[in-house]
Amino acid sequence: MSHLEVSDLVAGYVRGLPVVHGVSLGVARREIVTLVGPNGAGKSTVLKAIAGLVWREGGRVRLDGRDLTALPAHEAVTSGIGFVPQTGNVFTTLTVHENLTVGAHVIRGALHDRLERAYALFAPLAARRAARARTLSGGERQMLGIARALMTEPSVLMLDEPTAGLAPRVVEDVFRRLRGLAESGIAVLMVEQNAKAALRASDRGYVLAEGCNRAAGSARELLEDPSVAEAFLGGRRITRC
Amino acid sequence: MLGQAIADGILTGAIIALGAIGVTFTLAIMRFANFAHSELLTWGGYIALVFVAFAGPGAPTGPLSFGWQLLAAAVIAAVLTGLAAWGVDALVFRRLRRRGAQPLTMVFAAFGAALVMRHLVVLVWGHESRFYTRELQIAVELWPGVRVLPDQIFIAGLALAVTVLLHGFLTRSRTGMAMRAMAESPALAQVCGIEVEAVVRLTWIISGTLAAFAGVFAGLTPQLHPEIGFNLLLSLFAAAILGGTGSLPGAVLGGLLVGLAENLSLLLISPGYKGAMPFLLLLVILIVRPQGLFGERG
Amino acid sequence: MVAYLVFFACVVLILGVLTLALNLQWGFTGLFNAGIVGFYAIGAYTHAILTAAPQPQYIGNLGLPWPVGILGAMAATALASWLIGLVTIRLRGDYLAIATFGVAVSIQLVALNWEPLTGGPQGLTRIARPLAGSFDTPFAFNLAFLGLMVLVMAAIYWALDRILRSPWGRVLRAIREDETAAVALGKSARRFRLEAFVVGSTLMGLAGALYVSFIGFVSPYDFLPIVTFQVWAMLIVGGSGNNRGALLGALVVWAIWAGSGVLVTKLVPPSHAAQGAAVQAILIGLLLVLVLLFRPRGLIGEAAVVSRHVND
Repeated sequence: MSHLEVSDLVAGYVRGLPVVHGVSLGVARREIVTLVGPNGAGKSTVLKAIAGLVWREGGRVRLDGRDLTALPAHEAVTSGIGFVPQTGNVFTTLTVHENLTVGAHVIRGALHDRLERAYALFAPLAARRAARARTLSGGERQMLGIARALMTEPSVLMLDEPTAGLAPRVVEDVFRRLRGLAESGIAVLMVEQNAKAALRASDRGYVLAEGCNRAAGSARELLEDPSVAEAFLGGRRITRC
Repeated sequence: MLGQAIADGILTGAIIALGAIGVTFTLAIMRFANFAHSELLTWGGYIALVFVAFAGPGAPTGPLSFGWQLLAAAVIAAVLTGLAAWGVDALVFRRLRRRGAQPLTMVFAAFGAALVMRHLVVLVWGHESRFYTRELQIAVELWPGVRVLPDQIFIAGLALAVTVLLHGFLTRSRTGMAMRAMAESPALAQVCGIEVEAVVRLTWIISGTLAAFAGVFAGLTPQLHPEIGFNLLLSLFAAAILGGTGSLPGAVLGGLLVGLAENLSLLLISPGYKGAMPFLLLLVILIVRPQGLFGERG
Repeated sequence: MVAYLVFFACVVLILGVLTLALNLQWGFTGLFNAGIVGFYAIGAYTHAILTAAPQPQYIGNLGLPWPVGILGAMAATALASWLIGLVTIRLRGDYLAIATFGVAVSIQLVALNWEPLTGGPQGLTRIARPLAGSFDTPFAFNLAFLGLMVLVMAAIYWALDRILRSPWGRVLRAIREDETAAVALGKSARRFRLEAFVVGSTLMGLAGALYVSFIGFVSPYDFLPIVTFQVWAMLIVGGSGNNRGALLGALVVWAIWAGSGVLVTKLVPPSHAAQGAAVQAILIGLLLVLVLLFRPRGLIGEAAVVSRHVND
């Protein structure tokens, strides 16, 4: 069984108007899974629904067997979910150090060791720890966003378009770090518009379109499958999968 | 003349700043214009009046018109007003939040709550002005042409001290950082595990506490009446928006600027129009730089 | 008793005009006008300045006939609200509230301070009233005025109904309901909102002119912020988005206000008159909060309106 298991998830931004119509997926520890699909497929909504930030009107979310579906957003993190949103993934008015401290809000007690580990893992941040996040470059902000999410030592790390707007060299760096994190035992789930690059860096993938599962398989299978290209171009409007 | 206007402006500004801090965090965290905030100032002033009625304001200490008893009354009033603010939230606003009420609904409710809060004071104490102390003060000439009352200097200093304390809390404590995080982005704050309701409660309590000090200071210079908070409503909002919502330094600077603008305008226009100055300032800021001095765009 | 009821009915109808106007701005367009009393005051003072009997110390007091006063009041309010709207319509909801609130405060300050024009704290007297010379007793005049108000109210109600059913009205509703439609319309959405704001404010000015032509004098103390809160209470209690609700709300809230006023004068000794008035204000405040908490749709508001107050 997967570490993170999502079954028949129905979710949306406005109650009664779901954008996701019954999506299922699973992520095991130590693997990187990517969600791809055309714009408006509901990929980001799936992540936000798992994190509890949008209405969940059906289906289940299970982490290590525990049912998370009814939990409010601020409790998802204590269960072991770390989420790096696409926009607004750092607090721009706070310093790097404050961002990390806030990221560890649910951790009681001293944070010194955790902070030092974060700075060791993300060396560029150590040099700018007193700088306001607003002054960081795109790549540094992305790093801070990930480091912030890692402060609670989550077992699942979800990222929404982690490489958006980043230079190719920085994109490589991000995927490399994600692989390192997966190897340390984390289940990594990401949404990416940059489908080819992301799938190449992943173990498995799911293709979503119009709020439904379209295809799934190992990353290589998806990359070589012609019908995956077709799913990207599919245009039917549906309300149930 | 100019020097006097500047001095008066800074002293008024200090009081406005204390009130504006609560407004700026309410706007940033709760995302609605809380028209009832100014009544917390009034309540703070009158609660302190109750304690002064029992224990007296204290014999004048040094050049001040009061003794430590008034300060004690102010501190007690601050605590009680903070609790009262929490109570108002629990009775009215939290219920509306739970139902997913729109921000504008909260503003209507704030109107209604403000009416009730203000007129409860009239009901109990009537319209007449009240004084904490009958002691007359001799103005001190700071430099030629600039005279201030020792009470005013003390108040400005105390306002500064309170602000510095709060700033320390917001920047050094984890709860304070959580509050600033929520003020910037509620969604990301929740992702970090910060509970919205907990921060909202804290915001109300801090707002009430600061407002009480502002109310006592306003009531001290020179008198207390039921409209004291309401008369400052526009100034408080102008200061908070001018400084940029969610920013403590913004609210403080905004408060000082509003105070200065009001007093400097007296050099040019009739005092009857003084109340329109914060509104004009507000309009200018909303047109020219809506995010305020320290605010972020968008 | 009858005389009192006639007087009461006239005031309710005038307040009803205010509430209908607010309904156009808020109920149909979604604009949060917290400065109602300001536009009310502009209409009232313009009518007064145009029609009051000339006196040497006043710039205005032009002694013009009543209809000129009414039309002038509407024109002045239309112009003022257009200028104010140009600046403020684009603001987000609660900022619009603060800005319009500030407008009303500033207008009241002008009324209080610009003595050569507005009479300052004393106000202006001997304002033109419709056909005032034709009636022997105040009661006769009030009765006739009531007749006039009924006609005016019917005309306004009918006109608003037609306007809201027109293509213009439909666009307005679409903008209110669907922000994305509003964004798609872009600048045009702002124009529609501005037009609704101006029309509504003009009606508020008309109400002000009618008010001072009813009582015959104008005073800055009739235009305090409490009036704005009373009208908002009327709309929310009656049910916004619904013109019948607006009128019903005006009747109910004013009845509570006047009724509690009567009770207070009977039960409270004159030395405590201020406290008595405070009870009235507390009642209005409580009414507003309780309606919002327990029946946000108001007395006869549409159920759909609930979605404006609650994100269910």
